Amino acid sequence: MTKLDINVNDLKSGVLGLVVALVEIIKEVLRLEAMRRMEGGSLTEEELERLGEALMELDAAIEKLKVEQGIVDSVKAVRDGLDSVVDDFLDTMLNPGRWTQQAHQEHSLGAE
Amino acid sequence: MEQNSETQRESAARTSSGSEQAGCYVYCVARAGEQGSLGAIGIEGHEAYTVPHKGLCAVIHDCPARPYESTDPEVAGVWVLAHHRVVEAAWKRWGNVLPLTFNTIIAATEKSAEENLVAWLETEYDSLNGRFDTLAGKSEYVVQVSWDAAVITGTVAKASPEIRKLEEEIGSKPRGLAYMYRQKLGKLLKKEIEAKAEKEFKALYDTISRCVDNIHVEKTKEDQEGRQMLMNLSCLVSTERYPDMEAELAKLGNTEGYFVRLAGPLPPYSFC
Repeated sequence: MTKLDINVNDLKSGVLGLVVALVEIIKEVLRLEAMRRMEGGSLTEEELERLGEALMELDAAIEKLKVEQGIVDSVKAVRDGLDSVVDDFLDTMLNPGRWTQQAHQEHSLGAE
Repeated sequence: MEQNSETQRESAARTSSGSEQAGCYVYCVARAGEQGSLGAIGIEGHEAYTVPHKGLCAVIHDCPARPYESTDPEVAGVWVLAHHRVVEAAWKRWGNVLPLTFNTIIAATEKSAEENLVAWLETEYDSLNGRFDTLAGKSEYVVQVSWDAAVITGTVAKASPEIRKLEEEIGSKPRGLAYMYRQKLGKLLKKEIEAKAEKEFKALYDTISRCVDNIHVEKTKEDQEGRQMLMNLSCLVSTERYPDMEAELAKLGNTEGYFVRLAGPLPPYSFC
């Protein structure tokens, strides 16, 4: 039977890194929505001030959590990983020339 | 230590099975009818030698008909580097080579791997010669242009009245509003920088394409901290046109905030 060797600290940092990365992404969505409303002129100055304060506090809380838990790097790794998946996807979609390259690669992998 | 044993294990696994189907690993095809050895410079120290056919020759080493595979990127890196060194040695010796992709292996069938290789050279003879004609006297160069994000942001901010106005307004706003305005400023800056990058890319591409024979746009890569890669090109350049390209790139390299990396000459990996 295979023994599963788990380093508890690695696991904690990995899972927490993933969770905080997701929270950061949700925060980005909130921020973009706030910007959209600000630019659309549907918020009063007072509402904008409150929204700005809330987002600022959320930023500070996430940063504090990352430093306290020592997960700055693992959060960055998750975000970079997601960015590169999106970049690759867009690069392929925007450059039809890459489809042939990819088809060749898949073909040669399949042949092996 | 662990990496060494890994390499040895993989190496042993490739050579231990005596009954395995034979093959030959092909590095490149050169326009030379020579039969001979390039020495033990191949992957894992194999002897790289030529198989000639009608004025062309393939540079190969003998191996089992199985691709080189490793889960360790460092091991794979060493193999790819050895592949490149053989192609480069052939290129320096004969001037005109068509490099093949890493892991191009011809297997023996009822015929030997070498006979199958010669049959392939015969089938592709006209097409290979056509490609040699196109590539004669030309080399590949990698051209990467990056810019200093801070310098460019400063330039863009100074040039845009809308950004300057927003910067002034932020100073007089309460905390929350200032935060929202800073987000807006960031978005505006990003948009302006992207527009500038697109404009610069087009201008640079036009300039460079005027002094090269062929050009491929590659994916931009992560650059060092604070620098953003604007363009990553593979250029096919003839010996006569090279000074023009070099002069254009030197001019760009002297512009504040820009960095130019020029690597080569290389065998024409991207153009065969």
